[in-house]
Amino acid sequence: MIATETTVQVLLEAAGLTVSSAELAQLVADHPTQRAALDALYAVPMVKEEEPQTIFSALP
Amino acid sequence: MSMHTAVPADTTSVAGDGLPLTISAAGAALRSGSLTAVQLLRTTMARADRLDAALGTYLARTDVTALAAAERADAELAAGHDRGPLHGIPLGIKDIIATDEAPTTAQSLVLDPAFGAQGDGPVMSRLRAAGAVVTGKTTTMEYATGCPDPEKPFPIPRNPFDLAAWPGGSSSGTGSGVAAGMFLGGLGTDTGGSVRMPAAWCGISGLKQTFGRVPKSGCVPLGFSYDHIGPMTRSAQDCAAMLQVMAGHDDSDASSVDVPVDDYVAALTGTVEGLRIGIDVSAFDREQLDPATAALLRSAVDVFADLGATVVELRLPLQDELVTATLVSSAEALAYHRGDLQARWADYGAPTRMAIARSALVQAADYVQAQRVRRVGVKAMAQLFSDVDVVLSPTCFTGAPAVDGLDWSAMLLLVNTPYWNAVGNPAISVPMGLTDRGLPVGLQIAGRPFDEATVLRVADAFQQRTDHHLLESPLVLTELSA
Repeated sequence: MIATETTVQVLLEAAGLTVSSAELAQLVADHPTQRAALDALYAVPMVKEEEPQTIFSALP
Repeated sequence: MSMHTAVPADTTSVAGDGLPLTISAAGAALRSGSLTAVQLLRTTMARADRLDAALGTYLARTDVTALAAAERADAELAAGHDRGPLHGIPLGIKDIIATDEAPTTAQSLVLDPAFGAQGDGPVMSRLRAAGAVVTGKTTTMEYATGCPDPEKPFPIPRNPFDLAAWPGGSSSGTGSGVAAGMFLGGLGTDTGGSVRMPAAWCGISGLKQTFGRVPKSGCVPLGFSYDHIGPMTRSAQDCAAMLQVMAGHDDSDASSVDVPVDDYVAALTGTVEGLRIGIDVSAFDREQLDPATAALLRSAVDVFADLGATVVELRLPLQDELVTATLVSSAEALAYHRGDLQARWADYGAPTRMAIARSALVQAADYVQAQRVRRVGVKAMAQLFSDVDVVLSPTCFTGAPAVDGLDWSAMLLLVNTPYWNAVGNPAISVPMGLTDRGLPVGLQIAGRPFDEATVLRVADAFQQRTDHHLLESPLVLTELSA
């Protein structure tokens, strides 16, 4: 099981963001709540084929 | 009818300087000849001279060009050339919207000055063609997100009803400036509530119209698929007058929708008879809702029942999920800011960089799933609005919090606005009274997509029966009578 702190550090590093130790601690503390809210999006009842509310257009 | 204890005002300020509080009242005075645009502008400028140091409303004033515009407005009216309801009206512009006469900073050390150098976008061009007088650029949270940062060289916005309180944001300066009479209307932007929240906490009206109704090009983006440029004024009638000018398709914004623009002012019939008005009773279950706001919400609902509307209790669906879907907009912000955050982390204010950086923890599939949930939400709204014409809720669950020590995450728990950004429906905040501490709170009225006319009609009918939107703040009364 990867620790939350490691997950947050890796994702920030992948984005190229260098945060202070206090900011890292805040993001680590908030992450479980943030992750739970995002995971809840997958529990919303919808048809399997539901499209995202973003429609691509080939026109400029 | 008034349910507050502060000094109520007529449409002319009781503060003694003769300022018409609304755009419509000022327009009538301009056309009757009892007031000139230059006199009106000088009255608002005098208020700014007295109040801006305390309120932190302006980032830049444009007195010289404003006076020239007001002089032109007077000359045109004298010559019989009337550009309509905004002719000669002073407006403040949030400083993430480019304008011809002033730089645009987004209240940030980071924004490339070249952004502002582009000058007026379509909304500004339309307002200017309608005769509006731009008085300056107003304060915001940096890039319209985060919280005020005392470490950065920008004013800290404060609330005219209590200088220890925040005016709300991110359209902070436009909110406090309208409330203090430093201009009669202005532009804010709303990605998760940044028009409606400061409108509620400053005791004015603010509209987030349907997504795509008003082109947002010329505005620094925050969430491309959530952003709106919206009007902020004392009254819903004035919001209607501004929207009338601002609305309409423009190819420069990929999100702009080409649908007919209604006659919003003509829609203000003063009646709600025959309408079905929903009240989201789940708001009463929220632990953040303070008793004073709850009581004011119940009183507001009673007003509509008295006016002959059918009041329907309902619960908005998918509230947590749609709020999350709006907060995911920060992933759109990260796409815009990532390079600057990598290179200039310390130049960003701490609250802003943290608000954006946390979206680095959002995965691509999470973002797409949020957009699928938004589609589910849009369909749910279509069903809900087949039964009611509008939905009422509190704009925020309390009055404004203290500005010192403001915390972004804690602040998010106090606002009830992001839901409507996820689904795109129009929503207005109008004042519904003062809390026990004398702080304004707002009533949020949401409607069907592109049916701003009904939203504004309901808001205006409420304001024809109440005078919460005409209150002068204690700061204005104290400073102008001194």
